[in-house]
Amino acid sequence: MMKLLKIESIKVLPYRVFQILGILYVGSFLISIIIIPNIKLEASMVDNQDILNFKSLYIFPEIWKTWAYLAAKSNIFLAIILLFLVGNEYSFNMFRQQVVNGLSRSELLNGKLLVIIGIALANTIIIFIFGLIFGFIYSSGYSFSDVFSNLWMLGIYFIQAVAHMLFALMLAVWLRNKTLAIVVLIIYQVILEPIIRLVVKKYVWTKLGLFFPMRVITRLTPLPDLTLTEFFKTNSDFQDFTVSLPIWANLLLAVGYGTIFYLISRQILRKRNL
Amino acid sequence: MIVLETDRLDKSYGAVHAVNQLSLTVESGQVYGILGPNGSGKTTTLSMLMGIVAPDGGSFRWFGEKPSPAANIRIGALIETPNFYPYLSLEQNLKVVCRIKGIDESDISRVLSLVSLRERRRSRFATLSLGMKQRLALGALLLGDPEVLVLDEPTNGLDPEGIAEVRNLIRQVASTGKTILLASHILDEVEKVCTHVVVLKKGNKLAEGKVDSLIQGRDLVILESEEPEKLNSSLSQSPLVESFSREGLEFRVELKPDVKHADLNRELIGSGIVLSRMEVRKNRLEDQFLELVKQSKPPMP
Repeated sequence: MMKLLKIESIKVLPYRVFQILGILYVGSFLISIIIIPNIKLEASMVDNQDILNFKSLYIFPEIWKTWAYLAAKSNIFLAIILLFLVGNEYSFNMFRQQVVNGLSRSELLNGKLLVIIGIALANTIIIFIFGLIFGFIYSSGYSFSDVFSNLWMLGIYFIQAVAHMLFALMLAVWLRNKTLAIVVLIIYQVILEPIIRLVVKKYVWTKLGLFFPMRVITRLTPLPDLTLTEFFKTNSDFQDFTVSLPIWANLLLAVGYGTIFYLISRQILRKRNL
Repeated sequence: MIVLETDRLDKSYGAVHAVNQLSLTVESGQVYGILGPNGSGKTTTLSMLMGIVAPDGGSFRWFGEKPSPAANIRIGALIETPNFYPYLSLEQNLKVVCRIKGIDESDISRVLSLVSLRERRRSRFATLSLGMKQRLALGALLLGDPEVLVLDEPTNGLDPEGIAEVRNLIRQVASTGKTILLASHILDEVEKVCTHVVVLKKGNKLAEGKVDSLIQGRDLVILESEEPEKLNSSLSQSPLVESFSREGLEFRVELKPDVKHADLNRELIGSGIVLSRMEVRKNRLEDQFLELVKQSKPPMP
C-alpha cells in the first residue's frame, strides 16, 4: 500500500490541474466562510430578523455542522479533479504502461482509491483546522464538550466526499475519456437525475426520489439546525430542500453506493483490454 | 532454459483474426525477432504477452510460470509508443517505474546516461523530440537490469543515427546474455540484431528458425526412413550435415553451406539407407519476407 501511495503522490502532486482545482476548492470554501458572517439579509417575509444572522452558524458546536454542509456544496470540484486524474491515465496510455511495467489491474484501481481517500482526508483536516480557528473567534463561553461534540459531522463530510469521487471514478473508468466523463457527470448530477427524481416522485412514490445516488450523496451532511431552517421546513415552497431521510439511513445508502461504484469500476477494469 | 513459451495463442478483433494459433518458444540468451509487415499481429502478440490484451484462446508462460505482474517486473518492455506522463520530468517519470518494479532510484542516472538524456533529466517529458522519447523509453526498460527485454518496433521514428544507436544498444545488451524479444517490420533490423526469428503474416506463422540459416538460405531437409537408428548414426557421421534434430521418425537436417540435398541422398544410398521420405523446405528468410511484403501492398488503382 505504501508503494501505491508513493507512486500516486509522484504522479498527482506536481500536476498543475490538480493544484489549481485544489486551490479553487479550498479557496472558494475559505472565501465563502469569511464572507458569510458579514452578510446582512433583509427579508421582508421574515418577522424576526435575528434568524437571518449568519454569525450563529460559526459558534461551537454548530460550526461543524455548518462547515461540513458548506464544504460539501462544492464537492463536484473534487469529482472533477478525480475525472482529470483517472482520465489522464487513459489519455496518456498510462494504465496500459503501468500494467506492462508490473502493476496488477487491482493495484491500478486501489491506487486511485488511495488518491480519493487522500483528497477527502486532506480536506477534512483543512476544515477541522479552520473550523477551530473561526470557532474560537466567533464563540464565547464555550466548554470543551461544545468544541468537539459535533465533530462527527466532519466524518459524514469525509464519507460524502469519498462517495462522490467514487462515482467519478466509475464514470472515468467506464468512459475512458475525461472530457466526456466531465460532461456526463455534470449533466447527470445537475440535470438528468433531478428530472428523473421529479418524475418518480410524481408518478411512482413521493419518497423514491430520496434514494437516488446523487440525492443521497449531495445531501449527506444535514442542514444546519437554525431557526432559518425551521422557517424553510414550515414553508412548503422549500419542502424539497429540507425533506430528507434520517442521517443514518443516508449514511448507509452512501456507503452502499460507494461500494457499488468501486465494484463496478473493478469489474470494468478487470475485463477490458487496456 | 525456456524464458517464454506460447501455446496456440489466438486473438480476433471482430472479423480480423489478428493472431492465429501462435506457438513460440524463446530460450534464454536468444535475441528473438518477430518479423512481419504492419498488421501481421506483432503488437497484438506482445500486448497479450504483457497482460494488456486478453487472448481469446491458448496460453503462455513466462519463466515457466503463469502470467502475473511479478513476471512483468522481471521484463523491460516497450509496446508501441513510449508512454510517460507528459507533465512530469524524465526523472519523475522514471521514479514511477522504479517504484512499480521495486528498483532503487539510484539506477535512474545510470540509464539516463546510457541513453544520453542525463542533462535533460529535469525537462518535462512533453518537451522531448520523438527520438528522445524513444530513447527514454529504452532507458526506462533498462531500469533494474531486467533479464528479458520486449521491444516493439524500437527504431520507429528515429533518424539513421538514432537507429544505429538503438541497434548498438540492443546488441550491447544482448552480448551480456540477456534474452530479447524484438518485433519489427524491417528485415534488415532483424537480420542485424536477432539470432532467431519467426515470420508472421496476418497472424499466421510462416517460418521460424535461426536467423543465419534462414538468411543464408540453407534449406531444411526432412527425412524419414524405415530404419531410423541406422539413419541417425549415418547422419551424425556425415560430413555434409551441419546439424539435425529428430522428432519421432522425422529427421530435420540442416546441410552445410553449398551442399545440395541430392549430395546427401547419394551419400545415404551409398551407406545402404533407403529413405521413405525426403522433403526439402525452402527457408530463405528474404524470399519469404519479400513475398510477404509484395502481397501486402495495396493493389494499384
